[in-house]
Amino acid sequence: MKRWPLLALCFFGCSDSLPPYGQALVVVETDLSAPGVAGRLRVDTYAENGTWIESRDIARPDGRDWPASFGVFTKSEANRTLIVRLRAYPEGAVRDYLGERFADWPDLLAGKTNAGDGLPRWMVDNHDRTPMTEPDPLLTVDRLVRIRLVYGTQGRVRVMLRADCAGTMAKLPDQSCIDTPHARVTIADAVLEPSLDTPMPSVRLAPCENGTADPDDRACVTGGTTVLGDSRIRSWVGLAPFPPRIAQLSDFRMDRREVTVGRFRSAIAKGFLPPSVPTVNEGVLGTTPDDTACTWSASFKDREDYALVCVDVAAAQAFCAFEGGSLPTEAQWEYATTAAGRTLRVDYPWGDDVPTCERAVYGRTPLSGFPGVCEMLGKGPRPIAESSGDVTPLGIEGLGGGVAELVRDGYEEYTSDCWRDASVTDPTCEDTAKGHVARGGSWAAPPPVLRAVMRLGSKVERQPFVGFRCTYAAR
Amino acid sequence: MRSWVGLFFAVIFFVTNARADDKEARDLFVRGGKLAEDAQWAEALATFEKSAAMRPHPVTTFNIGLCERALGHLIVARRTFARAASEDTTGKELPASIKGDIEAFTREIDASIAETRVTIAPADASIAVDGRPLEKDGEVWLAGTHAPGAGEPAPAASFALRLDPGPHTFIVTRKGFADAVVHPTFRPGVNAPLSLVVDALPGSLSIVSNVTNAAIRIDGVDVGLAPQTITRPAGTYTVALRKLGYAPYDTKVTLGPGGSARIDAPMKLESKPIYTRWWFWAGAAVIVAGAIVITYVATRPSPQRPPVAMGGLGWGLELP
Repeated sequence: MKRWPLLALCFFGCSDSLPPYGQALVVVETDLSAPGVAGRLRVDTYAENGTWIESRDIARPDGRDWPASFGVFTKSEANRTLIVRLRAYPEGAVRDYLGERFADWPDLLAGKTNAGDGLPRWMVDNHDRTPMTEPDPLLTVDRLVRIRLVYGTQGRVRVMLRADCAGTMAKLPDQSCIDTPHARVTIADAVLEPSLDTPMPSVRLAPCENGTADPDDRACVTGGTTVLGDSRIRSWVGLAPFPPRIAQLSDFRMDRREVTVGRFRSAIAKGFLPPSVPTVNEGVLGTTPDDTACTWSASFKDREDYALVCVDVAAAQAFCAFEGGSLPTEAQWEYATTAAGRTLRVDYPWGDDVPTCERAVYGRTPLSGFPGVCEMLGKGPRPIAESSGDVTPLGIEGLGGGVAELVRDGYEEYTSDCWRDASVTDPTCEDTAKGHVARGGSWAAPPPVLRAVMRLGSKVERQPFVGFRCTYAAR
Repeated sequence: MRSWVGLFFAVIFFVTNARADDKEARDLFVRGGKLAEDAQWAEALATFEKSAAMRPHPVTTFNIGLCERALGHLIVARRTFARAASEDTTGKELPASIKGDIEAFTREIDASIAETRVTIAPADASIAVDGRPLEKDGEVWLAGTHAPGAGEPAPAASFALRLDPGPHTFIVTRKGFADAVVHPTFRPGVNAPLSLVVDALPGSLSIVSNVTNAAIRIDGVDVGLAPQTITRPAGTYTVALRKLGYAPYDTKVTLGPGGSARIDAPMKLESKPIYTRWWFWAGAAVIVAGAIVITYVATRPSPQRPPVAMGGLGWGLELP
C-alpha cells in the first residue's frame, strides 16, 4: 500500500481506516410463494452504457432462502452507476434466449414475440458467456434497479419483487414495473439505506388462526402466489390450460367437501329458495352418465350423502350466497387443489402420484370412448365419503374425483380479452356468454381429466357428474 | 528425359567435331552430365561452366541454365536460356527439341518469378538483396543476377523489382541512419509491395561541469549528475544544471542523427551565504516536518478499508 502519499493527511490526525469503496448491499425480497413460484432468482447487471457486465442464476429451493442479498461495489473514486435486473421465477419456467425480446403483457399472453437479434451479449475476456436461456416472462416478476455508487459511501438497497408485476417485462435500460400490474415507470436511483444488515424475512400468520374457531366443514386457505395453468398442455378437449400465468390469491375458506343432497335439502328447510330446482330423479340411482344418475329427489331417499348434481350455476351460486359464500373462482379452485399448504405445486390434490381407483372416485363408467377403469369398485356415482383418500394437505376432499365442480368463471381461453384484462391478484373471468367452466374429475371421468389444471366446459350445467362446493371470506 | 537430349546431342557434337582442346571440354561436359543425373546440381553447374569456358557451345549454355533452374535461380536461368538461344547463330547448333525446352522453361519461369514494387525511404539510401546489388533489365530491376558486392544507391524512391520466389534478405543503408534489414518471403507469381524505411541514428550528448555532482535536467527531466553522456534521438534539447550554492546554468543543444555534442558547463558560486537563502530555511523546515511525519507514520498501524459486503449469497460484483 502506498503510505507515503498519506503522510501529510495522516499527520494532521485522520482516522485509522480508509474510506470504504462505493458499495451497496442489494437485498431482494418477494411476496411470491417460495419456492413454488419464486424458485429461482436471475440477476443481470449492466453498466450505464448498456454493457452487460454479469449474469447469475441462483436456485431458491426453500422459502427461507429469501430475502437474497449480494454486494455491488467499485474501487473507482469516480461515481459509478449500474443497472441491476432481477427476475424471480419458478424452477423450469425458461425459454431460449434469442436476444432481448421485449413484449407487453397482451402480446406475451397471445404468444406474439419477435424473433430476436441475439443481442445483447455477455462477453468476458472476449468469450461469449451469454446464457442460453432466460426466464419465461409470463411467469416472471421482472424488475430493474438503478444503483449509484459513490466512493466512500456504502449502504443497502432493498428491492421487493411483487406478484403484481408478474408478466410485466422490464424494458431495458430504464423501464420497469414496481408495484402496479402491467404498468412500467422510468426508474430513478435506488434509495441507499445507511445499513449493511440483511433484514430477516417477515413471518405471516395464518389468517384463520386468530382465536376464531373455523366450522369443521370449512378449510382455511392461506393466500399466496401460484402458477395457474400448465405450459406443457397446449390443447385439450375443453379449454387448454395454456399459457400459464402467475396469480396471487387472497386468503379464503373453502368447503372441505362437495355440497351434498342432504345439505341442499337442509338449506331449503331453513328458508333457501333456489332460483331453479336441480333435475329430479325419483327413481333408482343409475350408473350411466345421464339423468338416471341425478341425485336430487323431491322426497328423502338414501342419496342424502351423495354430491348434489344436475344443477345449474344460478342455483349453485344462490346456495353458496345463502351459506355466506360464493362459488369459487377457477384461480381459487386450482390454488386450493395444487398449491395451498404446499411448497411446490403438484398435479393432483394429493400430490404428483397418478390416480388410483382406491384413492379417488373416477372411471366408474365408460365415457367418450374411455373404458370404466374403476368399475370393479362400483359403478356410477358414489357417496362423498368414498373420496376421503382424494384429499389435500389442508383436508379438502374430492377435488380430484367424485364430481366435477362448477366455478364462477366463464368459458374463455386464457388468451381471451377477459383473461388478458384479469388482475394478477384474485384473477377471474366473469364473461359467461359462452357458458361456465367446471374443474376436477368425476365418477364418470377417465384418468386424464383428474389433472387439476384441466378445464371443462362449456355444457357443464345439469350434468349428472357435475356438482359444486362453496368458498367464503377468510374472516 | 527431354532435358538430357541436350546431353546426347552435345556428346555427338563433341564426337563429330573433335579437336585436341575439345577433349578436356568434352570430358568436363560428360562429367557434368553425370553429376546432373545424380542431382548434384551445384557441382554440375560448376563443371558445365568450366567446359563452356574452354569450348563455348549453346548446348553447354542450355545445360548451365538447366542447373540454375534446378537450383532455384530462376531469374539467372531465364537469362541463361536466352543466351543459349542467341548463341545458336546458325540455327543448327541447338536441336529443335532443345529450342522447345527453352521456350517452355522460359514460360514456366515467367509464371513463377516474383515481382514487387519497392518503396524506399530516404530515396538516396543504398540497397542490396542477398548480398548483391540490383541489375537493371529494361523497365524493371533484377535481384540475384549481379555479382556479389556492397549495396548501390536505389534507382528511385519507388521501383519494380523481380526476383526468385522464396526468402530473401534486403539491406538498406544510409550514412547517419541505422541499417534496415528485412527478410521478406515471396510466393511464386505473386506481386506484393515492399516498404523499406531506415531509422535515424540517435545522437550522443556529453555534459561536463567544473563542479562535480551538479544535477542535470534535459527538457525538465532529471537525468543524473554531471559528468554524464546521454543518448537521445536527433533534435534540440534544453539542458539545465543545478547545484546548491551555485548559480543555475541553462543552455540549448542540437543533436544530429548519429552525431555527438559536448557541453562544458561553467558554474559560478553564488555570492550570498546559504543561510540567508529563503530556500535554506524552507528546506530545513521540510526536513524537520518530514522527520516528524515519518516517525508518526512508522509507529502507527496501517489504515484499513472496510470490507465489501457480500450478502447472503457471498457474492460481490465489482464494477469494471
